[in-house]
Amino acid sequence: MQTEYISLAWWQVAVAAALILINGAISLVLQLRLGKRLLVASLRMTVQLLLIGYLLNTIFAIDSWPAVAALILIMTVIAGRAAASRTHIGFPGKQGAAIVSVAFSGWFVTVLALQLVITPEPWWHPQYAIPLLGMILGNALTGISLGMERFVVGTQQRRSEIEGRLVLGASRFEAVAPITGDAIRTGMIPILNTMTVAGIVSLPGMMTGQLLAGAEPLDAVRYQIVIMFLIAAAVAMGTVGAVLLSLRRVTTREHQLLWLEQDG
Amino acid sequence: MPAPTVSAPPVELRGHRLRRVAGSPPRALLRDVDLRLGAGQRVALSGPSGAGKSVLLRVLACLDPLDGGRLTWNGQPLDASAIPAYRAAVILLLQHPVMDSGTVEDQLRLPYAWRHHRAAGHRFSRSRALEHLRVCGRGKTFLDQPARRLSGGERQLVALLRALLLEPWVLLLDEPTSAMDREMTEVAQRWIAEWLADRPERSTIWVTHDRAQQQRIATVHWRLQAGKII
Repeated sequence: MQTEYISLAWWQVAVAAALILINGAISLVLQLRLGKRLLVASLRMTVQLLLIGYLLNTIFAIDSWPAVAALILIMTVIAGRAAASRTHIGFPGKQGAAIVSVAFSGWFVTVLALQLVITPEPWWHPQYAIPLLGMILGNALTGISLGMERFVVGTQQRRSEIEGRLVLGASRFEAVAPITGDAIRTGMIPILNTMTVAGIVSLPGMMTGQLLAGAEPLDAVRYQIVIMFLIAAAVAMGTVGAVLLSLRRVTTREHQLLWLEQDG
Repeated sequence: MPAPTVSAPPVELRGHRLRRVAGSPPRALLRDVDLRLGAGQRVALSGPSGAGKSVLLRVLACLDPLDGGRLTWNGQPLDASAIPAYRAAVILLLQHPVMDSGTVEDQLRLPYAWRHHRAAGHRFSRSRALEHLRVCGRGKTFLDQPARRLSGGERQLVALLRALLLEPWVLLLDEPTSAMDREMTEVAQRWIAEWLADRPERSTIWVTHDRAQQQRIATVHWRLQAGKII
């Protein structure tokens, strides 16, 4: 099934990197003053990818579950923190809520896929587990960050509406229910959009990668369909989890809505 | 969860050394306020703006946390799980009610979908709503109006009607007629007076700047200044 693919040499990478000069020229001509940021972004991207490349090389070579587990843990915490950072309103337990929901949804779906769908040997094989988890975490992160932000900002902006229900005997869950629904919907929009246009407007990244690596198109498509459903499930679980955990944090047991402030 | 202490008279709301600090830099909005609202009492609450009138009513409705002191309702401290039931018995009417999408009738029906009111067997009575509306010459067509198109005064009227239909024991009124015209204000006063007359235990704390309103309704007068009742 696998055919040969063209391995890139460093000089070939350098040719592509030279294209950044086009961005630099545009910035100069239009006086966008993006030069420094372009340079930093290019360097960051290159260094980060090189690092993960070497790291994956090592981990694939070690091929032991503690190493895989350690990397997974780090990936999860970083994803959780990134998800929380989008919400510019602080509340106690914000990062915790994001990390817990990213971890639960990402791990649950990945383990399910490895055990029941893809079934490599051993099931935690880093070549499958890590890219799979990475894709799922990345998408869950987007849903969680959008949902959490929408929810927390919504509770503060729509305070009078919420309090109007509380004073008539609504529980905290009933009082914020419209905001909860709104937030979950918002978190799911990106994956729904992606699924809607998949294959028409764009070829999804993983499928593209497999095609470049010489996989049969139908083989690549089967993988991509599985991944899309995994991602959709993780996004749904993660978003619902993050919004509900935030709900418990921005309201109190006494059915009050906390007054929250912008992060400094 | 049933909350028998909340629904049975005698009606008595007590605050012991209520303290509330908020804002940045933190400022004491309520300074150890002691109060007792007994059955049948009608309190007019006045004081300069910024004295803490709204803060006090919000604290009495458990909408904001206390930084000191405690509340008792009918002699019992308030348990967190009983707070929706307490709020259904002691309703705070906010000054600027927000209307959801939907008709006026949808607004009036809203609370009956919630757990506490369903458990308590409360049912929306359209005929009672219409009875009230007849007083101000409004009828079925008013119930079908989109609520978000109502004027500020009409919103206050709808919010008051919604609260009254829930038959609370205590109404905490934060300038409930501030956006109403004279005719609407009279309707509101009449509704409140009838609600009070229905059960002698019912009581109210009413924040108003209108002297005539204070005298017409109140049996007791509290004056709040710089976070204290004087």
